Amino acid sequence: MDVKRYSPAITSSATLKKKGILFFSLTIFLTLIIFSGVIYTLNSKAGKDSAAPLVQETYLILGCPFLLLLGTLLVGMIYYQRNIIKPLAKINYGITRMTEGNLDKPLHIERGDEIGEVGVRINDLAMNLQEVLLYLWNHTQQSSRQLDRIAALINQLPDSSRIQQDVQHLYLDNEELQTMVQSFRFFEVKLEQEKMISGSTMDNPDDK
Amino acid sequence: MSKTILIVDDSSMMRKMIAKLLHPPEHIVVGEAKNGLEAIDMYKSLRPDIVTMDITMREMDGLEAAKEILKFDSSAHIVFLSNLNEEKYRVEVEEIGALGFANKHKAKEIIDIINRQ
Repeated sequence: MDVKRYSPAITSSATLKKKGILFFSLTIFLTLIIFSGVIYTLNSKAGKDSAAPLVQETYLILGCPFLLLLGTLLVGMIYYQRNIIKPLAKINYGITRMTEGNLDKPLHIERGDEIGEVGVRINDLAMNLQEVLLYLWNHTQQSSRQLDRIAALINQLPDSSRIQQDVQHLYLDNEELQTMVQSFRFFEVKLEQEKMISGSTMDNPDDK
Repeated sequence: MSKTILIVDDSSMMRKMIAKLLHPPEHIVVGEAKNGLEAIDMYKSLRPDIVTMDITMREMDGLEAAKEILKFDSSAHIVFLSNLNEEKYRVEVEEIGALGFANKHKAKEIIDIINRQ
């Protein structure tokens, strides 16, 4: 059964992509309009003399910077797509996986700029979260063993039903904590029965 | 006499925890590295008395890094720390020639191994 999840209407890289395309398209369009306007004005003023060398030279002097500007805008658009939108989409995908409990694959953002730094920090956060969870797992294992010993002692006491109930609650709390930890997938660590063993879980077909 | 220590672990939180365990005057943490590659570079520049090395790390794991460090300096003292309950690592650790192996969630084990040196 598909589980529906609430998705916010904003903050996706697709929206940023659309904004970027809109910006560059408008700028290119305005540049073309201005260039066309200037050519039209020159033509009107030159009248029949549009083939005159001075007029042609003027077209050349004006045309080159406009073409250069158009070229720069096109390059800018491609650069924006490759260097901002694409890595942000990658980060978004990676974080989404992590929020769903998949800590097994670190983000691979190999850049030296601020976006690369964000990727590194996100990986650091994921590793810290993994350590906390594995620490919790380890301690719930120890708590289980201690509870076993306490339960054995309590069973020997007369009228110990209340304490037995408390111990049962502690067992349940322990199990709930273990269930929470087990809902995560870890980087190079698997939880099997009561042990932590090395290994990555590579069996998810959704993994890229 | 104080021992200088290089802590290697990909979790910044774990590096902080280990640093907290090891305090002056007996131990002085001289550096922290977050993967095997950084560990090798930092070892070469800092030459610590002891390296605490996590096993599972990104880019280069602790076992590879330890082999490289020991190639560079065969007298390096490396203590492996891990979450894992596997005995197989103990064998590999002994083959590499490390100082010891401890569970990173058991503070006393770590300090005992370091203090034994």
